[in-house]
Amino acid sequence: MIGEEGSAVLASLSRRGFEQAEVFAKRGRSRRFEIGPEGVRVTSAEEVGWAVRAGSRGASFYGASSGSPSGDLSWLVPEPGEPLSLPPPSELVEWQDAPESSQPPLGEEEGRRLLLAVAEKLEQEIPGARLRWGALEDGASEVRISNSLGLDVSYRGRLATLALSASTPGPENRSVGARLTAVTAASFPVRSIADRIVDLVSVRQRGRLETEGGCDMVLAPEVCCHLLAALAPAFVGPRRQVADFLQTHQMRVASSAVTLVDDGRHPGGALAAPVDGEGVANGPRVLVEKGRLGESIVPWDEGGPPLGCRRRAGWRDFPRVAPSHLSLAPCADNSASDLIEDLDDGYYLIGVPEATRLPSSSRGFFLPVCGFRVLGGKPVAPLSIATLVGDPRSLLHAIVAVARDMRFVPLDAMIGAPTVSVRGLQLERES
Amino acid sequence: MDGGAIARVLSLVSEDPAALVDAFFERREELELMPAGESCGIRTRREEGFAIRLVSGDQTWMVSRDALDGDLVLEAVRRTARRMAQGLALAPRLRPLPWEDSGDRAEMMAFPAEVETRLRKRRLAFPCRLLLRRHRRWIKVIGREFVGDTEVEEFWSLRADLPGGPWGTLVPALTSDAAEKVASSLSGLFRARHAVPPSRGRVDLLLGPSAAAVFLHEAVAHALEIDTLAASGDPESAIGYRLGSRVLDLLDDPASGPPGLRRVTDDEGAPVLRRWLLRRGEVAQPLADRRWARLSATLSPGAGRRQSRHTLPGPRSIHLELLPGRKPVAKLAEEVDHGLFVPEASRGLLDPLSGEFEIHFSHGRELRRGKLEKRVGAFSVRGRLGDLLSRVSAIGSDSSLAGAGWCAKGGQRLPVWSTTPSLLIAGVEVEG
Repeated sequence: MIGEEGSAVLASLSRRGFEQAEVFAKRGRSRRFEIGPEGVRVTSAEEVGWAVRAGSRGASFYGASSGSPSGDLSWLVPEPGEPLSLPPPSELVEWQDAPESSQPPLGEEEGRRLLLAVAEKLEQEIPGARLRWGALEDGASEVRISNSLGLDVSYRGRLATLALSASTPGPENRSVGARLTAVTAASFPVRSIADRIVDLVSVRQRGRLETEGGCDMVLAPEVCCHLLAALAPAFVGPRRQVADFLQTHQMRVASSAVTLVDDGRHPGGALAAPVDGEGVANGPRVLVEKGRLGESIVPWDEGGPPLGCRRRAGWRDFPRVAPSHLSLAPCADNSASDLIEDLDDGYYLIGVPEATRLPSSSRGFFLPVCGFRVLGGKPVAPLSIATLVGDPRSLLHAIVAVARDMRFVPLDAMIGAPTVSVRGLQLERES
Repeated sequence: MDGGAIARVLSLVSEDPAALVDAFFERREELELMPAGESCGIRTRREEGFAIRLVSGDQTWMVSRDALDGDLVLEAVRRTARRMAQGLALAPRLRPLPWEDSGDRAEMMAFPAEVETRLRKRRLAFPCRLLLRRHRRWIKVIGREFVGDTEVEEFWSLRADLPGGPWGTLVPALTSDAAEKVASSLSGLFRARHAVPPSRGRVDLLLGPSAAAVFLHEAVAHALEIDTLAASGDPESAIGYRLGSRVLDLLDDPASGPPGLRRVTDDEGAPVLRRWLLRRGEVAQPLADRRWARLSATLSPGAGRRQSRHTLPGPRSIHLELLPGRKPVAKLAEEVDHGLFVPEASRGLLDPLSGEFEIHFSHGRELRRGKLEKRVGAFSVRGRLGDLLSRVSAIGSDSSLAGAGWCAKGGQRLPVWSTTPSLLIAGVEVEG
């Protein structure tokens, strides 16, 4: 079992008079396959590290090191400051590590085949188009957290990511990108991923925005996820502060189609875990329920409920308050194609081309997008590129319907969304 | 560390004399001073490990581990090798030295207070969360034919969370001069917090040394990384191409960086070069690493960099140097009838496929015939890379270490440094 040395470290700290102490240990292994201008690259990494924090009478320290927990802490010196406050053990809802969590990472040939299959399909469907770069990473990790208050929890995690970048044929050489996640690399649906890249390259080849301004739109999950990611930090902090930012009227912050949940143990979700980065049980935190402001993301020791919300990306990282798996709840009544068929005159935006513009803070968000012009519920022409513009505070009001499909994108947190219909956002031409 | 034994083990990885085989050993320490009042006031991170790499033809394999241990090195060598005979090699001896003492913390703890004092002297007090980090790294690279010396890097990074957003910089040492520069940047940002962006239009842009450094890093250094050039064609064909104005003489010289950061070899163990990137505006020598240089007679290695043992090296700049012009910056300012002066750039981005470039500035001042006038808020400049670089009309004589910061590309975040003077760009379109 990983981190067994942690109990000796805690005992040693207790003898030295530290009333509160915690040991976090993590071991991970991953394999990465990459194809691109640099040829084929295969890397295999094993990362082992741990972190300790301890405090007593207004002094505390934090240290992190590669390797396994060790009792030699002479390199760490307590400093005065806010007292350290560690969570007591909490009752965990039953948790089963994903069955795939103990499987070995994808083999070299399998990884190579997956990337080459996407490249071949793209070249077959659109002669002259090419997959410029692709990276597939498959990793597994084990975590153990124990503290001097009796908390001792361990779990295994699993995550596979796929990042693709393709270019259109011809001298214009326009690029498109896609990022996907799954619990394991073996579960990536190669054919549908290849189809998606073909669609993205296809629309990027031609098609200009006809009229700038507000119009009805349907956003594919990936586009919606990027918008939600920009809004995610706004839900951290006291509820009043969140309400002020969103300029609520009687706590209505969104249309009634919107239910927004943060849940670090999202069922079946990649990187889902039973606890957060300091061992507090994860669970659903409803941030917006049918348009009304729900809870905000506040940790247990700052007046929040006993739900995990301190994330720890790796063993080096001090836990910080942030969303973990933030998702817009799907609606079983609608399929994505229903939403497109209901669009009389507007745009269906399917992707976010690789960053050609940076977000602006002075004018709200703007996001480069591509997709189709839709008339009478049917896509009639491609839209190579346009900029989706809006105020983050009105984004959730703009969502008028959601579909039943769901996709997670690894952004600052895992952000999930179904296909959505929006009204009131603007499309501008790329200048 | 028995370098000879490691080189011998590496020689068994591949019989192909053209293959590139190396071992990268790393130890790093980061000391982080949290803002006053937060728990665990100084946070310490220490780590060590290695990576074994084989490049053969257009394929690369790498295995990395988080420990310095001879048995693990041998195991990683075996995993990396494609045809290595089992059981032929002995585990090399690795006896890493004890960690160096973290040093005196008093200097670190005094720095935020010194910045605050300098802000107060400017009659300024505003909410500002300062996070200060000291970074130290020791690396050693061993190949089949060489055993590199240990290279050491030490520098400081500072991040300030202000009401208008974060700001950051890197400094080689916590000197009074560094505190003054930080205070000056923070006060500039704070005083421009309500300033209105300039109206859209064509103006002359006078970039201070710090803004010029970011502009040149994003526009020239990234454009001349050999992997970026390869994304859009034959990278060698860029040599001799006129990329910018004739006034631009730009080098990458890791050996003349600030003290504590000067390098003799790069992260692949190749000797660094005083590398001309642009000579009178023409591309001279793109940034190349060993992998690319072995495929070409005209490319020179020495610019290979990696964030850590777990990432593959790639071509990146370390320390850019723009040769100064003859005119003092005041003279350049006098030549501007209608323009903007920009002390700092916040970020930039180059699309290597289309050649589209954009750079963002958090604030600036209107400039008319040498006089600084009204403050302006955030704005950006977008355009074709070649067009923007051809509009550089003059370089100042005021060279200084400026514009250092973190640069992220391909998932790797690296510190970059520059010694640059001010720079005048004529007639560029700005948008607020």
